[in-house]
Amino acid sequence: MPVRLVRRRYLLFKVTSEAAPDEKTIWENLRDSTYMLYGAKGLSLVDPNLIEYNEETKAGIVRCTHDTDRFLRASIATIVAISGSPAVIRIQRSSGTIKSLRRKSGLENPKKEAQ
Amino acid sequence: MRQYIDLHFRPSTPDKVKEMIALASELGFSQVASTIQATGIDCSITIATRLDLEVKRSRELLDALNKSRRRYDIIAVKCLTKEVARQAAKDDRVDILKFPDDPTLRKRNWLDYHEAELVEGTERAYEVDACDLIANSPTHLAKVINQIKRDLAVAVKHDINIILSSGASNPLAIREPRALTALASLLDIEEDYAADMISTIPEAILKRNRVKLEGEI
Repeated sequence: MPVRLVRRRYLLFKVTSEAAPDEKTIWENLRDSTYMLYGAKGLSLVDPNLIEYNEETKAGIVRCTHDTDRFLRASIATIVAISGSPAVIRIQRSSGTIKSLRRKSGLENPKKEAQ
Repeated sequence: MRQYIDLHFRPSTPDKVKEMIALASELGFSQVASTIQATGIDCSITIATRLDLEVKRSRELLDALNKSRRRYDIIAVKCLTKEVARQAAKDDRVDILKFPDDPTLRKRNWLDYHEAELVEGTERAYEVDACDLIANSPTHLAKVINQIKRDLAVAVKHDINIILSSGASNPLAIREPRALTALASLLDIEEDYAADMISTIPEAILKRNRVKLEGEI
């Protein structure tokens, strides 16, 4: 059975803000907050990656390494503004695979939807 | 299953209380303590009353405690001066000791060994507000983290209870329980103990005070 070298953790988040930030802005905020708290080495350990973000529902999935999800949660909790307007990002659910995260939270796979 | 409790909501208006309590319920808190009370809230969450005392003289603190102790579930004292900190540390009517978040005030005022000896073996707790750890510039945050860690080292050495609250003044400042425990990692607090700081420790304070208040009635 093939085993992945790096275990990941996938977090489903929802943005609460009067502004309507786009995917790039969300990614920059996630990356910058992690860098602000833990520096370049921390950022490389957490290795955050925005998998998807829906601008209509303001919900998305972010990935990090398995044993650093606490650091990513802390980084996300420190975000208080996005695009200049007050905002908060709250983690709603987490899982070890995107598939199970989507299943548990009732999200559709965007690729399947496109097909 | 853990029952999460946030002992520090400080909304500015009763309207905000309703919004904040509904959100806290949604995020998984079972109890909250708020400095402003609101009526007609229909949710599954238990709401406790909290008074934050901010005085500069011990005499003022004693007067305020005499007047208010029976009316609130939780009484917290923000120790603005050493004199107040010492009085709060030895007074059984105080539930929570809180130190100022402003680094300049903190330079002269922190949880020292004398206060810790007075609190040791009692049920009073030292409070960390999560709002102090967010919304700050990196340099300010570094100072705040160092100051809180200095207090925590003294508290741990003297076996003093530590609680973690949001200190939220509006709905955007409320964080989910897992985010609060994650923020505790900035203070080098283990995840299990951080979870106790927002569940079993505040629960014990509320339980004890409710028994006392019911007994007095």
